[in-house]
Amino acid sequence: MTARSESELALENSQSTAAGLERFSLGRSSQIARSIRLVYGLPLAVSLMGIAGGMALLISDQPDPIATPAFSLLALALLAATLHVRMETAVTSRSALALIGLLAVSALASLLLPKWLYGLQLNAIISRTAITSPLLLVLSTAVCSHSLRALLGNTPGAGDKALYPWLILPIFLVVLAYGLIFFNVVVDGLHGLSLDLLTRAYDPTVVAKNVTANTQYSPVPGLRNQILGSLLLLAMSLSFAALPGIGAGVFMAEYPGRIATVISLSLQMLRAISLFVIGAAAYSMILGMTGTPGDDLTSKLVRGVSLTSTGLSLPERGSFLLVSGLVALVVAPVIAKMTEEGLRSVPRELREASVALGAGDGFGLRRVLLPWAGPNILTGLLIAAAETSASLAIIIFFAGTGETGVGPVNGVTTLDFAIFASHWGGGGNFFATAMNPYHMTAALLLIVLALGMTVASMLMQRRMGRRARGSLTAI
Amino acid sequence: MKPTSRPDSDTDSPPHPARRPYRRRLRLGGAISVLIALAVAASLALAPLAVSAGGIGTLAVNPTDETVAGGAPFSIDIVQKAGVATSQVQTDLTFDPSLVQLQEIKAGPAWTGSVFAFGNDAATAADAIAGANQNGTVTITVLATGKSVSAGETTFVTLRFAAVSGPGGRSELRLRNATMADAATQATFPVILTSGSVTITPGGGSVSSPIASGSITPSLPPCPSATPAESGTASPLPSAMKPGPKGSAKPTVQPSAAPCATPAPTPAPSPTPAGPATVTLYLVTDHDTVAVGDTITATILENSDNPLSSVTFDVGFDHSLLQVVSVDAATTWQGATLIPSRPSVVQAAIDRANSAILDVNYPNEGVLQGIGINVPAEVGDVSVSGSLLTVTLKAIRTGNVDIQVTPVDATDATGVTEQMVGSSAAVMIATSTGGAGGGGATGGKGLDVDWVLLVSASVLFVELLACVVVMLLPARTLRSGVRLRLPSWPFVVSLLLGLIPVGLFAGLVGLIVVNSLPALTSPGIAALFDDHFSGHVYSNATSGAFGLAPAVAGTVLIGIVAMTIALPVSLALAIVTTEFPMGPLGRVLRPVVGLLSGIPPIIYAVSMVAFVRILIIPKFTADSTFATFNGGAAIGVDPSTWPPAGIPSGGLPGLFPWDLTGMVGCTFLAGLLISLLVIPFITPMIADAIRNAPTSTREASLALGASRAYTLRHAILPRALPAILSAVVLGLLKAVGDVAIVTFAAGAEADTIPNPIFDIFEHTPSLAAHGANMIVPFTQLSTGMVTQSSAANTAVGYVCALLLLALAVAMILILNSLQARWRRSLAG
Repeated sequence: MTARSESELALENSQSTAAGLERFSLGRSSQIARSIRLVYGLPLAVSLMGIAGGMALLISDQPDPIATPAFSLLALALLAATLHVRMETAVTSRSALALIGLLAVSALASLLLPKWLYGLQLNAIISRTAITSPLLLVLSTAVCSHSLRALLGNTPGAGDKALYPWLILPIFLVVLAYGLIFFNVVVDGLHGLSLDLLTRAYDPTVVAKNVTANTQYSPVPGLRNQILGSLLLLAMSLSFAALPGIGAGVFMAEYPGRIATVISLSLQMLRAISLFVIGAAAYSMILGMTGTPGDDLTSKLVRGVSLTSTGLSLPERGSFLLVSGLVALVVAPVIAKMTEEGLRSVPRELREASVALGAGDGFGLRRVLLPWAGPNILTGLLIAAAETSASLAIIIFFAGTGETGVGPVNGVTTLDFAIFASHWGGGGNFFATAMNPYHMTAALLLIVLALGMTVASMLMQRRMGRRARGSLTAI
Repeated sequence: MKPTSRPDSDTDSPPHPARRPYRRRLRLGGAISVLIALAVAASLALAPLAVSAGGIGTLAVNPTDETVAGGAPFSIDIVQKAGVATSQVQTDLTFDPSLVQLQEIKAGPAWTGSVFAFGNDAATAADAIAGANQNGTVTITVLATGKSVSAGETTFVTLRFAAVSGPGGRSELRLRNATMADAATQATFPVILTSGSVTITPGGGSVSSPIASGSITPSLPPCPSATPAESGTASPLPSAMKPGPKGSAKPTVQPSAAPCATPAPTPAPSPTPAGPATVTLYLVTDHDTVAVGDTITATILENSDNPLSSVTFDVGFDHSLLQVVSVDAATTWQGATLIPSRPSVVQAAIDRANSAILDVNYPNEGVLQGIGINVPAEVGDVSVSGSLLTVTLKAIRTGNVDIQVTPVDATDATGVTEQMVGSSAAVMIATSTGGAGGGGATGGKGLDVDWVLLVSASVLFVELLACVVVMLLPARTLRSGVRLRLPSWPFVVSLLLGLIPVGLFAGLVGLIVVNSLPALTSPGIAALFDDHFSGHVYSNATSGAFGLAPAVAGTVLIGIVAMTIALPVSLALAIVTTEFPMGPLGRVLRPVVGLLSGIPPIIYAVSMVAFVRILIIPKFTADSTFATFNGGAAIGVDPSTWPPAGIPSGGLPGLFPWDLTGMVGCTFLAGLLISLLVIPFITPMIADAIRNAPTSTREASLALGASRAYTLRHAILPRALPAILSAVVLGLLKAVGDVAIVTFAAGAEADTIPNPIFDIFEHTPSLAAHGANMIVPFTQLSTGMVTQSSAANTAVGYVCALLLLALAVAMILILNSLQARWRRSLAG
């Protein structure tokens, strides 16, 4: 603690010195100040190169030829700048010295570390670059930040700018990661995309070779039912979730108290628990029904049935009805939260005016509060719609291959399950074999579906933002 | 308190004139919407009922049971029935040629003019009949050329037989391997078969005796009863034929016949006793058609010339259609003991057969391996024909299934291993037919579910009804002037609607708790929190290692890795979108983060491959895979000497060091991908926290000349800490609850606690993935028909769910109380 405050003190010291030099000196002094600042251009340039090198090392599969030179160059550049400042002003930045020390140690370490690290019974053989590249990135960013601050004259504003490298680095890395994901999905997905695939249902009954003793099937891949299933699940779970969600939101916003706390807490829990828990709980009901023929009503509604082309009714693992009810349970809290927010944002004047004009509870809710909260509710519905495509952990328990059609009492099947099953299912399974080449196409479709919903909800939020800024007509 | 618009005056004042029509409209609208909802619900419920079972066909022998005198002619009809027009029917009919002889096959009236597959001219027909009389089976295929036979019941063919005079007996007339084709689509569809039998009373007659009955007996008898009675003991069957203990469950088609097996056609057991003795195993089922949910008893019989002391064999079946319930030693030999002798091992074999997914080449093949019986010497030898044991199977889905018995080993009394021949039997599983009896087969457990559903449905219905009633209530002052203090309809309606998720959450907790209770007895608490979990979900029943500690360790590791990566990045993103917009960057990033939050987890899961290529292989698995992947010696690694001694490797060249299963990935990768899922989830929350931090300190700090960075660090972030903490907790719960990413990147089977505990390069899945895999084995998912995993596995899976549930509830409660305290301290 004391060390830190000391170094901070030193920093303030140097700041004030530099600032003082810049502001109040004339002639030669101002030239000195400029040269003090400009000399940090060298470490800045080297650190930018260091960041680039660190990035390259991070994704390179080669051992590091550049780590040691990079560390040494950084240390030298920073040392040169610090020495120059010391010669001119007799002020030494301790943080720069510490940084130089770290760089020197890193350079030494990257030179001395073996190319491959293993031991501790760790289940990996770690390339040296796994250590040197993050180190290079972090230290380069530190040098960058330090020299940026010095270059800008050690003012408070420069302190703000010095934070930029620290903010940009993680953002850049994570944007790279997301970019990689998108690139991967889009390129691989477009590869298998064809109109035929989208308009055809997966059909396992196509027979390639029919010898009485040994029938060999060659299933035809197709994504039609999965696409329709995703859309149906979305529509049904939204319609199930809308009323309870809005009702809970209204109650929490309008009638605060013990019951509202209970409702809010259980909605919070529903949001927080793993989807797997919800799926498992509901699956236990199906477990009790093992062996039930698909004939009685309960089994039809809960498990779903599929009617084969020959009229045989087979029990499925879970119907769209059941699963959309479960997904509704997950997305209802979103709707409730947005409704509550919308109602809380109703201007006090509006409430008072409505009460003063004699409107009762019901009238006020229907004519004043809900219309005001309408955009919020719509946003909640759209966010919920996007969320339905993320409910794989529930669907896993119930989904089938969807070869028998899509409907409320059909077995549930969705795009994300198609991806999961085709990628993970055993090698001998028909569905996995037929669909595996197209799982990235399914992923692409799923992204398009989910992002469509998200974009719509964001556009709604933007409109609401306009309203919040005061324009009532923007609604 | 904000005005919640519940003025008391509302009840007192006379209704405003303007409100009258509004109320009426509301009433009408409410009624209409309820009606529409009910109609939709009813149509949804009835839609599947409206579709008749169209294409399933039946073929029945008529009359089913007939008694004729020896030597007398008789005829049977095969009656065909289908829901759709048919154009082709094919069936095999087997009979005992030593008892009855086929004389003529004639197409029924509706099928006249049709073509028999064996030809219409007399010569070929006679050949076919003569052949049938030799081997006891005739294949009848009828093609309705150029026409179709309309739906409904028709007589398909009439067969004229002659009973053989002699000692008499009972001959089964069994229909097998039947198919029908839809006239419109030419698609074949399954057929439910009803076989018949004929009893021949002893007596003389004029019919010629069977063609050379002594010499041309079928070389491969369809079932032991038809074996030549050379050895003098031709009656072991009745004892074996009785339906198993559970076979009394309602069979849909009356199983008058005891269908027998057609032995595998390969090596015909030589009738001559010369050379090495051969043991023939037969498999006989008590029904050849059962309904889903019913049990069939398969009896394995043997026929050998030498006395045997032990026989073992495998029983193979499609475990997506059938599940083994029990294996019992048959009673032909007193004192015979089952192999394996320990009941737990038998149960393990049953479990393995029911969920055999190890062999990717036979995804639907369940094999009951290495069962058999041992006969102690003092009891007697397993000599000639007799039943060995019975396997009780339960039908779980519709379809056709062959049950095969494949011999493994037979030792005769002198210890010599014998040659063996197996056989198989076909069983067809149909949905139960006949509407009246449909519900009866559901059994006790189905009733419970009905009850649960009934209760929940009625609760929902009552709630909705209450909503409607309250909405339709008239003004709250009665005519008599009595003031009813009814709450307003928005209160009641929103309360009832809001209580739905509460009730469902409570029910969910209850279900999880109830279902995880069996685990307390079956593996037991101590075993549950053991360190070790046997490697594969489907075989752990054998080892009995159910420890969840590895999965708990995986959960912790994944949570730590994910949040370590996600928190700094989210913090940076949140700061950029709020306090440090950096010009256009902040404006651009905010919608981008919003957009990213919509990406489903499965997308990250399938992107795993790219990360493995770019990050994991070059950085963490510098083994021979790496060497070959990158062109070998270019990087200075010699694949032949790599990995060096002492490094944990799969032991095989070309595998990742940790990787024994050929799976690519590790806990670290799972954490990394989950952090990408969590970042867009918690960034808006952290941004909100920063934005909503009390402004007074921020303004004071800025006014005093502090830089924005200083203000952020010392004035904003400390104030925003509670909200940031709640974002972190929610993000952590999301990370811990993920299934898809963990399954892809770290697998779904927890093995042992990683050693050392921080070894994030092992595959250690979290509780969520592990538990889900325990309940529904993932490798079977794509078949669309998942075998239920064993009861112990399921219960352990529910314990995983319970742990996660408890974690989430505890976290949320702690968080709420902490925040309440912070709010108080901030206010104070």
